[in-house]
Amino acid sequence: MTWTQFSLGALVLLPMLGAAVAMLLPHRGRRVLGVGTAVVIAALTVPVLVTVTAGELTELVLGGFDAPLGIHLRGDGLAAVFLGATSLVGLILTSYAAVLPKSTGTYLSSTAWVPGHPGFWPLWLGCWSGLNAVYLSGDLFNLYVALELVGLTAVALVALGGRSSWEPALRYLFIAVLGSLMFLAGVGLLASVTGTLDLQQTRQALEELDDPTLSLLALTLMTMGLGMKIALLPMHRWLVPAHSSAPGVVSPILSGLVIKAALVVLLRCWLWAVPVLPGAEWLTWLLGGLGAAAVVIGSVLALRQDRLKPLVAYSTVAQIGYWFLAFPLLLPGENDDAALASGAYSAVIALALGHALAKAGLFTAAGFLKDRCGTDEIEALRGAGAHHPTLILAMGLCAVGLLGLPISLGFTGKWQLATAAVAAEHWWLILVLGAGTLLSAAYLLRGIAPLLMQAEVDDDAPAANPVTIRERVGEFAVLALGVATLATGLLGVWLSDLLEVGSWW
Amino acid sequence: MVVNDLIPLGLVLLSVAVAVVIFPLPQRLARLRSTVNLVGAVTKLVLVMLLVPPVVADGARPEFAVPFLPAGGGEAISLVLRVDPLALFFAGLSAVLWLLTTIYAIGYLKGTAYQSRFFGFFSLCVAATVGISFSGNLITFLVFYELLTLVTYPLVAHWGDEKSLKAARLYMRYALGGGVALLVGVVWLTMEAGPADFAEGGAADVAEFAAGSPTVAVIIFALLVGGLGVKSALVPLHSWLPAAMVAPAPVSALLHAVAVVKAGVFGIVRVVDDVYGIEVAWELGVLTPLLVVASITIIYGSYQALRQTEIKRRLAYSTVSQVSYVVLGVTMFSMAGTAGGVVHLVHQGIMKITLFFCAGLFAESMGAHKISDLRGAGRRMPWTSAAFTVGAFGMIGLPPTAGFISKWQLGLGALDSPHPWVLVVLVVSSLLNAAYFLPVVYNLWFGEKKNEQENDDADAPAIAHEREQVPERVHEPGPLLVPALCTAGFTLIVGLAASLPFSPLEIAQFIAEGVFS
Amino acid sequence: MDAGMDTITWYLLIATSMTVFGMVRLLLVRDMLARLIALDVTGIGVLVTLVALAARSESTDPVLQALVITGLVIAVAFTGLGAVLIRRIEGQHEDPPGGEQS
Repeated sequence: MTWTQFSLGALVLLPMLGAAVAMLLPHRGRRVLGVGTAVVIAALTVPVLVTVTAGELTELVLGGFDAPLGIHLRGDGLAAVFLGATSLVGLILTSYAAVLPKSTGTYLSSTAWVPGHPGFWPLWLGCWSGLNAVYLSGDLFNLYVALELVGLTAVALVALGGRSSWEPALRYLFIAVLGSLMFLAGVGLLASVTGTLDLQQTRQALEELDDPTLSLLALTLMTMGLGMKIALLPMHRWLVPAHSSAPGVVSPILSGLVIKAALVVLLRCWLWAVPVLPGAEWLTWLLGGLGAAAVVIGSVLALRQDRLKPLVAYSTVAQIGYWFLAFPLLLPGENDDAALASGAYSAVIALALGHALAKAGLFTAAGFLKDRCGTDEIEALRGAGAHHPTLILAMGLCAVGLLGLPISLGFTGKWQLATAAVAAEHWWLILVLGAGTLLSAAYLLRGIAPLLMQAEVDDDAPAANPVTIRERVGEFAVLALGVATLATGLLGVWLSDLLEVGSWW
Repeated sequence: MVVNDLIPLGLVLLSVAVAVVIFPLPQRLARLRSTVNLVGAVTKLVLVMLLVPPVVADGARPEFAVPFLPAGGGEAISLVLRVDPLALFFAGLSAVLWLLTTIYAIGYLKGTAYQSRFFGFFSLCVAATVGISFSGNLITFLVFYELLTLVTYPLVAHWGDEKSLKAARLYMRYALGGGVALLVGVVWLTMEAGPADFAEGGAADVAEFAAGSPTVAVIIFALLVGGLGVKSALVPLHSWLPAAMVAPAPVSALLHAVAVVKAGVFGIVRVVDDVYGIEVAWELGVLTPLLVVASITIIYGSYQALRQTEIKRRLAYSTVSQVSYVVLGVTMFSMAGTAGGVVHLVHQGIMKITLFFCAGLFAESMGAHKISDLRGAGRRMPWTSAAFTVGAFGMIGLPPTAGFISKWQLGLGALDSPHPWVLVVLVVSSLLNAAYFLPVVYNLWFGEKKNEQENDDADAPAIAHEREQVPERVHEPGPLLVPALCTAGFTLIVGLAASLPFSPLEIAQFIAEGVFS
Repeated sequence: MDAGMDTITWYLLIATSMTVFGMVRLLLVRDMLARLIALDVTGIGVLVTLVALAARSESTDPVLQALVITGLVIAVAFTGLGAVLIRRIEGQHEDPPGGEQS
């Protein structure tokens, strides 16, 4: 067993172990354990990234069972880049939560609501384990189980936000379960045809199949189920209440990472498990159309929000649209241009990763202001940025990433999408990209500009309280995400090289 | 990689580092903040000076590149920082003026709130400007150009009142709109002709592409210049500039003389001379329309300036007009004209910054915002008034100032070019310049403070306070005055020493020779 | 074997109609507990479909059986979480706790 193989296993098992141990510890101990686990996970990611950069694919079969039923971990390019992003975001958010415990929610003790929910730690570590398992899974069965682990913990994490978050959490639960049932039905259908759940074996079996109807049905079911979990436009309504009522540090986890897990599963299904099906074009066009609608409608709705966290949540709805825009380009069509597909694929990944960093940063900042000022109404936050120049700077950096201005992965992604669109002569895509960029500039300005205003903050307002050292450190966590948004903008070339490893073509 | 190759990167990172240090500094640590600022500014100036001998004399081209965007097939588009004479010219200007503006800003903002935020974004603004000057291809230019838009927004909105935010919003709309046009142009050109590395005399790939499909090349040129025209305030894309005058005086100085407007025209010079190449652009027939737009801008800007009664607004319209001299010079298609345009890049910078420094001084010390408030100011603030007079004479183009050199050179270029009528534009504009600057100068020195009752501005208590003691001197704060005197001095020196080696004119002629080689 | 196939077809039909019924109910009903139950009906419908599919082949498909068992476990976990949330939301309406949420 090589060092990298060990890392693959540990990346899944260690956070799970951490979650179990955390349940036995008091609150303070949980915080220490959480940060420690996060550091080790980040360190474990390094060998995987190094191996994949060298162009090697690492595989690990846990427990000796081989396909179709064993636990089969594959460290390919897609897994590596998402592991890297998750470790970075996870480490920063874990530190933020440890420094500012009140961002982890509130709970009801015998008489009063106490800020800081100790339940956050086991749930978050469990969620992290699920995320890593999603990225690394080489078969549909484990993808399903890992995705459910992520969904279950995510619902519970939302519910940490106190009374106002319970109903959104329940709503999230309904949609998450419904989505996963549809996905399960699709997986079952595929398995009944192929007799296997391994991604590669499924693909081989399906390629030999003459009649694509069943596989198309299965693909449609899986896409619908995952579309619910990703919150693609007509199925997006659960996202806004859930993400905006979740505790300060949970929103960035949900928006930055949890949604990406479903996206990874979707990509695995479309690109790895199922070969190019005749008749799948209508589905790609449907997804592309929904993506375009999401970009425009999500942005317009974001523009109409009066509160910061729902504004950021609607911006997620809009950003999700960009990932689906690429679907009509993703499958080689009649001209069968593989370079085009790989360009579009790497655009989706760049956009998703850029979003993970930037949106995590922006949501953390919004949660920070909400925790500090007791509200996230934009009108009430006027001038709140006066004492937080670092926070404002960090929000600005994240906004650059969301806007897709250079230098950021958002820009790299949009660039790749635009060049792929021009090459395929899908001019409408350029229009959507342009409109989305301008609209997002408008809503981000609406969210951030009032913070810069010179408002007389009353002496008794929470915003006028002296800023504690802990809060200053928390601001730097947001700044780290902002800087990472920009710094990763230089990694676009490396990223598309990584994605070549173990890709489906 | 030689040490010199790292200097351009170092210069960009230096300003970023200054910003990173300054942002979290608490308000009360004014001394530390000023020290960091000044050390950064001086270091930057020294580094730029270090680059002059190898680049100008030895013909070295220090370059730093890092792969940025995947372009398919294992190719990558790089971010390139490269130092050529034109880059150095612009970087030198911004290095000198940044130092002076920093000193001025420290004095100007003393005791006001949110200084860390201000100086942080101020440094980022300079980082973006340096990045723009050293950009080695269009993508890199675009990156820093968009960055500049973002970091100047908080500076324009600095005072945080309704008026500032409105002006900042207007600026943002214009700048982002221009940015999108530029982005589309750059993406399109890159797809057609590769990353378009700047090269003296034009990029070979672009020339080839323009020969193949001239129509598309013209459309792309229009997109690029249209996008850049927003920042360089070409009519009719100029109206954000007078509105942005609500910003603090050092920001106005920065917008007009060093960074934003200059970045726009610098971009136009790059596109015309180093991307398309002047010969190719001439053959495409895109120069003459641009020349006409520049001429209209010059005349219209001067005419509007004449109509303003506020000092800062008059200066703003004057910028609209003066900056277009640069565009005029590079589009008239003659070597002398190009040299005149390029040298005006520097000359306009130092003259206009002098005027803004002085306007800020008048406003701070005497509460003077209107031109009529300046009556008799020559006796009360002699040094400031003297500096203002030098700057104004420069703008009119009187010898021996820098402005005279620019206009002389442009005039020579016009006679040498296919468009001798440009000479008429120059003469008319000079007359208009005289018409709107001479009354101000006259007011300063010979205006009597009569009719005080009518002229007194109700909300300018400084004047009311000084009424009985009109001839008395008003204190001219050192940190504000010294930069103004320095730039006024430069205005005279570069005018008098124009024929010496390493003078701006000499370097501009050198650049122009490269363009026409 | 014909009769056997028929039984399975019946099972498939029943399962599908359960799924559809559950989903329609889930979307139409507002009461939280009813929705949770509808969700479980949907879930069982899907699982029965899978069981029926598994029974089609000669020897029962182990892959599908594993999927069904896992699906059951996950459904139970989610139902439990949902029940806890519903109890809290209902409890808050009936019996507001003394302290105010900060």
